[in-house]
Amino acid sequence: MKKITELLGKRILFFDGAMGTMLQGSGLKAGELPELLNVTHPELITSIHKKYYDAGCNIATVNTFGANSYKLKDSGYLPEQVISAAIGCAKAAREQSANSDDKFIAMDMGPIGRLIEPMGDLSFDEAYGLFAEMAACGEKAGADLILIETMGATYEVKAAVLAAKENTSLPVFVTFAFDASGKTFTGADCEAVAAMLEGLRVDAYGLNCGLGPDELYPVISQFSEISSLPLIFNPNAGLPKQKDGVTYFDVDPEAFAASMQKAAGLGLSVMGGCCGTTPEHMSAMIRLCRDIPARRPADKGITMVSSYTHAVRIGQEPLIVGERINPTGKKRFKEALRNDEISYILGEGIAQQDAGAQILDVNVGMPGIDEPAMLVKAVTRLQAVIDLPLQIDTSNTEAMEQALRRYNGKPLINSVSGKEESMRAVFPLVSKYGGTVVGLALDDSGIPSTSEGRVAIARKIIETAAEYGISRKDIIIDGLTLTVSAEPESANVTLETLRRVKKELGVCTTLGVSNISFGLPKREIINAVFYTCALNAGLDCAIINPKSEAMMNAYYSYRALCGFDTACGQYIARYNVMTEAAAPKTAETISLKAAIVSGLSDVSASIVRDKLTSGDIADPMEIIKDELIPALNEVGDGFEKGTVFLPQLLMSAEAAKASFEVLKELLAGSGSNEKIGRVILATVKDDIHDIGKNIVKVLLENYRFEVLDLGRDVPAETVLENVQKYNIKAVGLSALMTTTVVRMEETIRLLRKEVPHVKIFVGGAVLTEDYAMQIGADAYCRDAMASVRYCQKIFGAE
Amino acid sequence: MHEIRQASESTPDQWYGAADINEVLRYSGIRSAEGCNESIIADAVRAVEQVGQAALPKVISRECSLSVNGSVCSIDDIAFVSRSLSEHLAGCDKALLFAATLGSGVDMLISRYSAVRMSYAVMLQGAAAALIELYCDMECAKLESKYGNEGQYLRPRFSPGYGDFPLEYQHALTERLSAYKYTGIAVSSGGQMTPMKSVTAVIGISSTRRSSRGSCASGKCADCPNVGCMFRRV
Repeated sequence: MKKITELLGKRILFFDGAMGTMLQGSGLKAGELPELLNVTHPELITSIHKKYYDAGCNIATVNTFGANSYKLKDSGYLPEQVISAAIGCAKAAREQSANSDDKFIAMDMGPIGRLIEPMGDLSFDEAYGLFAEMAACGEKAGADLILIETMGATYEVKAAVLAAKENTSLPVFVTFAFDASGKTFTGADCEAVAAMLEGLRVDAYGLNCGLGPDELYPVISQFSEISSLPLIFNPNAGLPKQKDGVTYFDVDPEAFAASMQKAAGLGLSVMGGCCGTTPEHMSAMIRLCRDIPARRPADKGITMVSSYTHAVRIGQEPLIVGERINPTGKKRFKEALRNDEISYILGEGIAQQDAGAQILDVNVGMPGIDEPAMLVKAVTRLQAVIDLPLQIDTSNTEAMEQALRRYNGKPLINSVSGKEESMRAVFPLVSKYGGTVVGLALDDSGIPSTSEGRVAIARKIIETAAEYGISRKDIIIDGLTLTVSAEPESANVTLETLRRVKKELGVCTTLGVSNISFGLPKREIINAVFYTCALNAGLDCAIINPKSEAMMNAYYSYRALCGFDTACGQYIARYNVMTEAAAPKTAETISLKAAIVSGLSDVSASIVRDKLTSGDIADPMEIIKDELIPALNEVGDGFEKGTVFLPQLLMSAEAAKASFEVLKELLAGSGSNEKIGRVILATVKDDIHDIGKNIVKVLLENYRFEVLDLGRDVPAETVLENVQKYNIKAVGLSALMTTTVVRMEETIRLLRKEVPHVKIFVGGAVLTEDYAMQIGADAYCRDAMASVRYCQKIFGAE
Repeated sequence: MHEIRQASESTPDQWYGAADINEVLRYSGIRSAEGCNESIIADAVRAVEQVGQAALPKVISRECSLSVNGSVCSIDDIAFVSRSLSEHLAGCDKALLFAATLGSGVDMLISRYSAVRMSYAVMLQGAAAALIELYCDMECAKLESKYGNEGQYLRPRFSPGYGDFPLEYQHALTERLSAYKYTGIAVSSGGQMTPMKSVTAVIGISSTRRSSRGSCASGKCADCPNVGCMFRRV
């Protein structure tokens, strides 16, 4: 018997239609787990597969959509039992069918039904484990391929694909459920899906479920324009309707077949049906489509990286890769890494996105930290709040692999070089996890001083990558920027390398632009001009600081001048607004205290900066005593009296924080920067609503408490562990719902038993003073200010 | 015959424009708009716009048989035990199960600002709370007019967590609607819904109108005994 991958793209292969619809037709009750029928009524399942095989379908999708340990946990069955029974049914049907030679069995894996962190509470590793178990059982029982279907979340698909590939040797097909807006329910568009799946080297992918063939035609058509892999199309029989309590679908077999015939013209490789389709639908479709020639799509050669929502195409217009998430030469960043201040890194990322970066470089390498752990943390936390593709930047292969594994999309990878050792380490990771990799034009002999030398290394990198199955579209070359003050010819060599790489090798390019000016005064001036020269020489991805006005001026001007900005729209939008904003600020006219009370962060920070540069103040503590603290007290009192509301309280807190950040440099080492005390905050186990806890955190920090934020869904044991490890005096717990207050009570009970000295304050929507006392808390804090007051009391800092 | 609506193809692009800014302010903890400076109002308007754009609203509903016996409401083959739900559905012949969400993009947006500007995250959260209500009201108005054509009336939405209707029923409700498949609403292991701005509800279908109390699309606080609630809308 042939392997299904040998037939892919040679002729159209046909999937079967719906299983669920057929089972409902056979009397399955809503709420019953359909997968159990594999064991209890195998003859029924076999007969359905047989009908589809007889209709001419090539692939039977076995009845294992939800046969994972999570969904089966209360069923009395294990995945292995259900899956081997399911595959047994399909095998029996195949034996009874004619032409069993081109009939295949697909092990089916649907969504687990819980969202993965950070959108939900399921961990990536847990999802991986559930899929790995299913996939392994499927192969063992005799499946020919694995079908991962009806997916909405790219992260879940990544876990499922890795699970299938690492635990079986079977071909992997993936289909997503899209809606009419051209997105999955987590917001991924076609390019995001295509980039990630092609990076992961699945065998075929496409669409299933969601809508009918006509509604999904625009979506599959878009896939056909960008995909370099065989496409699958398994739509529903139209839209679900309900009559007398029974669900049915509104497209009949003939109409379905006609719509599928039209879609087949796009060059699809695999076709079938989902909800509402029957053997009659499949048979009508196969009659109309079987003689349409299939074609294996050509490599479209599009260089793309992606986040969980969208892809960024490289090589079509100049792109900015934000360089700021990198500790090199940054004292404050290093301090943040040492203190595990992830929020500082997130702030840098968000600021760069707001400033116009399309991709963010992420480098957290620094002596003395666990780089793999920190890189994974930075990547997963960044992708929870920022929808830009990331450039994973590390020379530590272990860190690179772990970060690639947990990245939700197809990243840029920085970097590989022409050194044999580097290529041997990095290329296998690129071909396993997907990604577009930056190739540095240097090798074991160092950096060539000529463009010939650098282009030769670039060529070697591209050729070696091909041996690992990495296409040239997934390599972008960094011709290397050297310091012009040390090597006068270096800028010319770099620019010449750029031109030649584009022309002779036809691949995309990147550069760390600002290296050019080390050792020179007014670096921005020369950086901006070199950046402009590089753009003109063919630079695709500039690794720069998007918060630098000079660089962004060069960027927007270049776009306007070179046809990347229609009617100079972006240029005008940016600089018109800036003229307005340049109007005199109120900074000179109001006091720092008033600025903080009004919640004006920028104004507050600039007043402090002015005071410091003008030498107005000898002691920064004066500002804190005379302006910051009185301002916070005024707002805090107002909040307690009900004249100031929560957003205003927080705005003042942010303004105070902005002022404090300016003072921080001066205060460092003077002893005045000391915190009042350390407090743990956590949203309890099973609770994923953390906005209340985050509000409390902002305010406590403002009142100079050090907050150890354990996050949300925190087990009691984790709270205890941290209390013991850091010798904590006060713990704040938050729970939103009645169901999770139970977990709060359990946490308090554990803390009382193990660390009776610790003070526990609690808050959350359903709590009351009485309720809080009843579950054993020391204090009920009705709002964030009450938490501050309580902590001040127990730390004696009133 | 009623279509099970899936994606919100029929939701107009700027649907969120109908949001009531006072409501957004209230959900953000601002009890009265008086005395708020303009920048807060402008933030609220911007928050509505941003949440509206980040949202991928989806809804599903399904008509089910209903029988009420004491405090047990049998909706299709699920037995919901709740006195408040039974009272709420008294006099109804059938029931709709209903689920709607703004999608996880809204959660991500709120997290983004929680990391850098909590004051605005609070406004976004207020806007999202107002918009999920608005979206549910808009979808219920459509259902109401559909049923109205057949001379039937819809009672206010009644959600797990109201009265003694336990939150735990969110599992059964979302399972019965295949809510994950159609809308992306999942229930976490701790019984909470993700995306966070999601609503599930039971809506009674009756051939008689109750003029004194609210309908499905408006005045849905009418049945709630918590009359002092700051979010009450009647």
